[in-house]
Amino acid sequence: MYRYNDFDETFVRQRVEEFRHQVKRRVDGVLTEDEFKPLRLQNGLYLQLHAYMLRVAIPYGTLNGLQMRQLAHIAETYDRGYGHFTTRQNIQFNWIDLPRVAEALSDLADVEMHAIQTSGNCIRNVTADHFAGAVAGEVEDPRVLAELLRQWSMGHPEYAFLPRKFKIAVTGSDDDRAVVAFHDIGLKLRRNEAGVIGAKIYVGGGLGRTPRVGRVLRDFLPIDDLLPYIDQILHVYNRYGRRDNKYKARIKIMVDELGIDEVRRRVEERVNLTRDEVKPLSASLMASIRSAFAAPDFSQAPAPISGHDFALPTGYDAWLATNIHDHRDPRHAIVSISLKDHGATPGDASADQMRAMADIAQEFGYDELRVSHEQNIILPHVAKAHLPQVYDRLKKAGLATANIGLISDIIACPGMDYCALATARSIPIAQDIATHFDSLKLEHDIGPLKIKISGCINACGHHHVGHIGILGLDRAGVENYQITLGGDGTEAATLGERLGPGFPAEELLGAIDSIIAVYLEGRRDRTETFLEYTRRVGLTPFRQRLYPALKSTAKKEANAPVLERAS
Amino acid sequence: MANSTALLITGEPHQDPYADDQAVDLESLAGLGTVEGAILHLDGDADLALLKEDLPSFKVIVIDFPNFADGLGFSLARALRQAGYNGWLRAKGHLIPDQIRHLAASGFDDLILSDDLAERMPPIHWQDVAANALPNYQAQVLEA
Amino acid sequence: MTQVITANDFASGGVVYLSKEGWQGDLNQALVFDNDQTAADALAAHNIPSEVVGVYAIDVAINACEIKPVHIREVLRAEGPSPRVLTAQPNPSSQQGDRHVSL
Repeated sequence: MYRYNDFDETFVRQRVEEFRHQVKRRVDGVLTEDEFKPLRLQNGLYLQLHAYMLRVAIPYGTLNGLQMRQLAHIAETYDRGYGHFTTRQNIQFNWIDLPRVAEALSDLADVEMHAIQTSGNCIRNVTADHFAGAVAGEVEDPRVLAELLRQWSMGHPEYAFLPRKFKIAVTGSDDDRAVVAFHDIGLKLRRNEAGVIGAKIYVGGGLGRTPRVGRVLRDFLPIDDLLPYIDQILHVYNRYGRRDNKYKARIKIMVDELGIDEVRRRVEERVNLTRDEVKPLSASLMASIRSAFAAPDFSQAPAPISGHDFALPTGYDAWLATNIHDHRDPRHAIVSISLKDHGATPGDASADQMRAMADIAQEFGYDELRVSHEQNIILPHVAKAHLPQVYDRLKKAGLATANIGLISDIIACPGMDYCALATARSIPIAQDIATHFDSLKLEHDIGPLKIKISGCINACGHHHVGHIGILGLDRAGVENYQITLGGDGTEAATLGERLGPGFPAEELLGAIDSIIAVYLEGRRDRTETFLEYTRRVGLTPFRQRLYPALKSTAKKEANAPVLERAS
Repeated sequence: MANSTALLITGEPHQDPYADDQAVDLESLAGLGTVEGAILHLDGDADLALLKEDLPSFKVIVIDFPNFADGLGFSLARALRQAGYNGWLRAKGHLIPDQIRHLAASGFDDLILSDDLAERMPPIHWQDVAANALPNYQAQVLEA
Repeated sequence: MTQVITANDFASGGVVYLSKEGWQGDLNQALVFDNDQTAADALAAHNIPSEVVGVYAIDVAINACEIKPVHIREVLRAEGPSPRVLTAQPNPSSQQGDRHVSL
C-alpha cells in the first residue's frame, strides 16, 4: 500500500497545526460559528445529536495493522472505546471533545492518517473496490488512480467551497463493488481496442433525496488524460452548480438541468482551452504509486492442507461458506470479517476487536485490511492454509459471524440514535431484523439478500440500492418506515421501487417477515435468489401480501410474523 | 471604496491604488466607448465569453464573493487567468483569513475587506495564515 | 406551546438546556417558557458562541415535576442513544456519560 513521502507527511502535520489555529480563531471570536463550521467539517469534525463526531479518512478503504491499532488507540483515548465503519470506507468516532481533536489528529498523523475532507462541500474520500488487488480479472488496481486523485484533491484551493459535497469512486473490475454508478464521478477502469488502460467516466450519480444513476460522460479516456478532464468537471461544477438551494446543489442536478451533452460540451471546451498549459503527471510519483500497489509476493504461501492435524473449530464450515471470496491467486482467499453480529450495531468494532484484526492481518494477511462500503472489514490476502487459524482467532475476538451477504449483514446508517439529520432510528431496526432471522435459523435458507437502512432521506444507508431498502421518516412525529424492493448497487445499477405506504416501527418486522415469506413460498428453488425472484415476479405478490384489500385489523394480523422456525 | 481595507495576498495591508477609479459591471460595458483602463466588477455568473477580446484592456477586475462559503469566485478567477488576463485581480465581499491561500492559488492579487470584517479579522490574522499556508499538493502530482 | 431552549455545548458537543444558572445538561432544570416571544428573547440573550452552538427551542410536556420532550428526536437528545443500541455496542460500561440524565 501507499506509504507517505516527505511531502505527504509535512502536509498532514501542517494541517493539524492549521486546525489548531482555526479553533483558536473561533474561540477568540475572530471567526463566527458559521465561518468556523466549514473549516471543522473539512477536518472531519461533525456535530451530531449528543456530541462531536470525528470522521477519519481511510483512503480507498485501505489500512495496515499499525493504522488499525492506532484507530483502537484513538477510540480508547478520545472516545468510548469503539468506532463505526461507514458506507464510504471511513471510520467515525461518536463522542469526541473539540479541545482534544488536534491531539487526536496528531496521533493520526503519526501513522499516516488524517481526517481531511471527510465532510464539508469539498472532494471527499475517494473510495474503491474493497477487493482491489486481490480479485481476479481487474484491468488494474483501482487504488493507483484513487491515490492519485486523493493527492490531487487534498486541500485543492479552487474546490474547497463547492456548491455541495463531491464523491468519487473507482473500480478496476467489471463487477462493480464500489457503487460507481451512484457517485458524483464514477470511474470504471477498462482497456480500449488498442489495449490502452483508461476509464469510463460516469457523472451525476447519487442517492439521497433525488437518486440518480450516473450518466456516461465519456466512454473511454486514457489514464494520462484523466486528471485534467476530472479537473474540468469540478471546475464546471464549481462554476455552474446551483447554490441557491441545498437540495439541488449536487452535480446530479446540474446534469439533470443542463443535460449530459451540454455538461460534456462545457467540460471538453475547457479541456481543449487549457490543453497547452496542462503539465503531464509526475512520472516518478506515478511509478512510486504503482509500485506501492503491486501485488505482494504470493509464492511463499504454504499450500492448502488437505487433511487436518487438528480439529476444526465449530462453525468453521459455515463461515467458510459465507465469508470467503475467491482470490486471484489459487492458494489464497479473500476473507470478509463481519461487523454485523446479530443484535449488535452494524459496522461497529471495539478497540479490542480492532487490535485483534490488526494482529491477524499482520500475522496472516500480508499486513493489509480493507473497509468495505457494506461496513465490514476485509482481509484481502489470506493463504488458504491459514484459514482455520484465522477463523479461530476471529472467533475469540467475537468477529466470526458467518453472515456475509445474508439477511443479517445489514447496512445501516447511525440514524436518529446519533445523527442530527435523521428522521428515524435505524440501528434498532437492524437489530430486530438480524436477531429475528437468526432465531428462526433461516438465514442460509433465504440466501443472498442485502438489506440497507437509512434513517433519513439523505440515504447514507444506501437504501435505494438495497434488495430490500428501508427508509425511516417522520410521520406526524412518529417514526415511519418505507420499504423499497429490487435495488442493486452493483454494475446492474438499479434503484429500488417503493412498495407502498410506510409502517410504524412495531409493524415493520412483520412486514419484512411477510416479504421473506412471499419469496420463500414463490421462488423457483433455492438457487433463485431474492433479487432474481423480485426481478422475475415484480412487486405485485409483495404488495398483495403487505397491503391486502382487507380491514385494518386483518391487515395487522397479516403483517404479524408468519415464519415458523426452520426444522 | 472608502470604508474598506485592502490586503495583498500575503495578508499585508496596502494602499489601494485603485480607490478612486471608476467601476463598471458587465451590463454597462456595452454602453462604454472604450474599456481601456476600466475596473470591471464581476459577479459569479458572469459569462466570460462576453469579455474575450477585451480582457487585455482591463487594468483591474474585481470578483465579488457574496458569502465566504460560495467558492465560485475561485473558479472564475482561474478561468480569467487561463483566458489570458494579466491585470490586477481583486476579491471583494465576505472572505475569511483561512481562504487566503485559496485566493493566492486562484490568481488573485489582493482583497478588499469591509470595515466590519476588518475589525473582526484585522490584517495580522491574514498574514498569520498566509505565512503558514499549506503547501500545494496539486503541483506534487505533476511533472515540475 | 410549552418550550425549553436547548443547544450543544461548544467544547464537548454535549446536549445542554438553558436553566436559571445558564447552560447545563439536566432537562429537568431547564427554564420553561409558555410564550414564543419570551423564549425567543431568552434564546437570543444566551446564544453565546464561546459557550454553545445550534441554539433552538423545543416543545415539551410537563408531567408531575418532570419535563419530557414531545418529539422522539429530543427524547434521544435528552436521554442518549436508545438503551439497546448502547448495550449492543462494544464496552457498554463506558457508555453512560454524566451529561445525560435518564427521565
